[in-house]
Amino acid sequence: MTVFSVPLAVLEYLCIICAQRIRAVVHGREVLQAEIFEECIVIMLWVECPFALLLRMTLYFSIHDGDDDYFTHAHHPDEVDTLLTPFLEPRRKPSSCTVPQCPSKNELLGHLLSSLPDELLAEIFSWCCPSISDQDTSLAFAALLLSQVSSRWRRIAHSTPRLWNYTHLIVHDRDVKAVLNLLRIWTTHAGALDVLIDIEFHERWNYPDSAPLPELFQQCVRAVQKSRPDRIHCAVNTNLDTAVDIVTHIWSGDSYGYPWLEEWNFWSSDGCYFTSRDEFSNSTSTSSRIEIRSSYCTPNFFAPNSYQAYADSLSYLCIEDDDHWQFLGCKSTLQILINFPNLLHLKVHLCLEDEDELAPVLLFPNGRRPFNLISFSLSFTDGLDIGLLLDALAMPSLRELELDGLLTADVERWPHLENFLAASTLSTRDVQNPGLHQLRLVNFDCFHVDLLGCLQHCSSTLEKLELDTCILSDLILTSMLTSAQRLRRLESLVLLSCNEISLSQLISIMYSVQCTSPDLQVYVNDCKAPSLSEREAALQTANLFLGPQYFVTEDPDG
Amino acid sequence: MSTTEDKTRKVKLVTSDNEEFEVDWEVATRSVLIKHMLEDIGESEEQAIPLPNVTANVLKKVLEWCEHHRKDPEPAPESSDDNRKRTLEIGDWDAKFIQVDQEMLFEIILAANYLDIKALLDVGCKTVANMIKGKQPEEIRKMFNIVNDFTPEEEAQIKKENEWAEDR
Repeated sequence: MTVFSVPLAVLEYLCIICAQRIRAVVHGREVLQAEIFEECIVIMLWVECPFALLLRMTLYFSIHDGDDDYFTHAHHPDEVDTLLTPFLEPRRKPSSCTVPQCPSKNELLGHLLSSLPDELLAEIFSWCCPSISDQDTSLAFAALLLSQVSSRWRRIAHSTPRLWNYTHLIVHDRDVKAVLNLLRIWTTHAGALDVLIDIEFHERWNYPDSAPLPELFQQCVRAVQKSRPDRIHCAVNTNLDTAVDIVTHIWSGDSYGYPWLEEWNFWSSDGCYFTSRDEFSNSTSTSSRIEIRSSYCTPNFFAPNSYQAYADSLSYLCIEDDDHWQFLGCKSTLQILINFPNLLHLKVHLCLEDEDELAPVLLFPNGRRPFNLISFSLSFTDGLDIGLLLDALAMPSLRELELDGLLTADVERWPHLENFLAASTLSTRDVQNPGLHQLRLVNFDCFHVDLLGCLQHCSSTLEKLELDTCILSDLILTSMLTSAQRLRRLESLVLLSCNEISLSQLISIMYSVQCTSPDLQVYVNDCKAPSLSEREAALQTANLFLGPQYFVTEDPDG
Repeated sequence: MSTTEDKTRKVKLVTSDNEEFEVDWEVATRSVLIKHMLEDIGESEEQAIPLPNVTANVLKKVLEWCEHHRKDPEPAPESSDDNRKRTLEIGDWDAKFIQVDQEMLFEIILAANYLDIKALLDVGCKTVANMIKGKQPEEIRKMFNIVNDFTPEEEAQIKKENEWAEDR
């Protein structure tokens, strides 16, 4: 108990006793020995009003035998201060302090802190702990540390859910026992708040050779489900003994000169999954949720056979293979698609020319195999023919497609993209599907690839088209935007480094489509060099945006 | 929503030690408590607002903060804690303002809480939190002269927690 929390009557009594003590000390008499009164006097004086005022008044009354006209006597401050000098003195000269004992700076700080009500101490604690929106500026275990200071701090910490809505745990060498206990602590104390917990797997050895990460991750999820079954909103997960519904994302690359692999697993109590490793999912659910995500990084590459245990959970796979560590070809890409049937997003780079044609076993009886990809990004080494791969696929759910690579020079007409889009669109008619929304082509020769033929299969759905370093004519562009088969829903057209495209033609197109496609915006950069008047006219054209290359000042020396 | 008339209005505040302060309406209403009290008493300019939980020296300091922040946007309606921007950084002016002795720091926190000035409360709490952050329980006990009063059962539980948290 502190002087701040005692009732006023007790405080008044305390002041009377303290006043006696002060006079006793001043007059050299020992009235009370208890140190507590000396401490009270010093604290009251330090804390100032109203306690100091009360003490001063009590002291004055004790001198003047009940004269209650304290405020009218001009001399009383000096008189009272003289009596209080021994108690004020230690503050100025701590080293010479004798009686009473001067509280240390820490003691005072402690008294002040303990005087705060629980809700203010909880508020201070909340600034010491990480949260979902501020994960990095505080120790991950701050809440646990605060709960280990004293019984009061422990009680306050345990009853303040916002201290427990984020933490970051590390698993060493696949030993998850300790982490399971910590997960229970966090999810229990977080109460009804949203919770996000990061689990980082550290290992000396490459774990795909032993227990796969999703299995360990599922153990963590089950621990949470058992400790907080009330927080599980996803109906499919009501049976805690069944496999946990998780998703896995894998990024694999070699951009640092060596292969690296980054793996993330996600689980959400309401079944709404992450689309990004960086963000807490934007669930539309009104009920609070627990989300757990795990990460694992290793200098390694993605070997499909080692990851077969991920067949149920792998939904996102990105293999960037600039230095050709991965060495993928059409056949291995098709094998990946078959081995991981729950993939929704796939990004791969192909550099290997397959020696033989795709084995019939990989193909569907009618020659194409349907896959559920939502986004597909395929880049390939210059000259590699990906036609065989596209001929084997149909993707009725596809919304985003990116193809990046230079086709072989001797190809007269390359029908594979058009056929692939036709096959995917045909499948689309049978299901409720929004169709292709975004198409990006890089390094494509739009004379060898019938671009208009391709686009007719997505003319009613395509919203964004990006053509980068493509061989393209003004005529194709005009047909694309103004003909009867034009892209009716196109909102964004990006033309980068398409040398045949002139600003004057673009301006003309923009004027002719301003009634039929008022929402269309065109961004152009680094296409055919414009004249000054062309550039000025382009700047005046609504919804036509010029990139920085159009504003580069000409070198006067040529 | 404040009117032009409100902005020119003066407000009288009376502290627990009977000192009276006359301040601009815009300054006084940084405190949600005072704002609500003013709404309750209406147009009565002469009526002083009693603040029995705040002394004159503390109110003077609080009003200094309110004066500096008088043009700040109105505080957002009560939002969940996690939606609040959580940054431990304190602005330059606030950092200088809060360089007071420890007693005054805690008095400001109590006053900001009582007067319902969320931004000032944050400044005070962040300052104390910065003293605590990153310290082990034993260091915190030493710094704040706190007695370890755990029961043997609690000590055993804490020991387990520390084993689980080791190297995590």
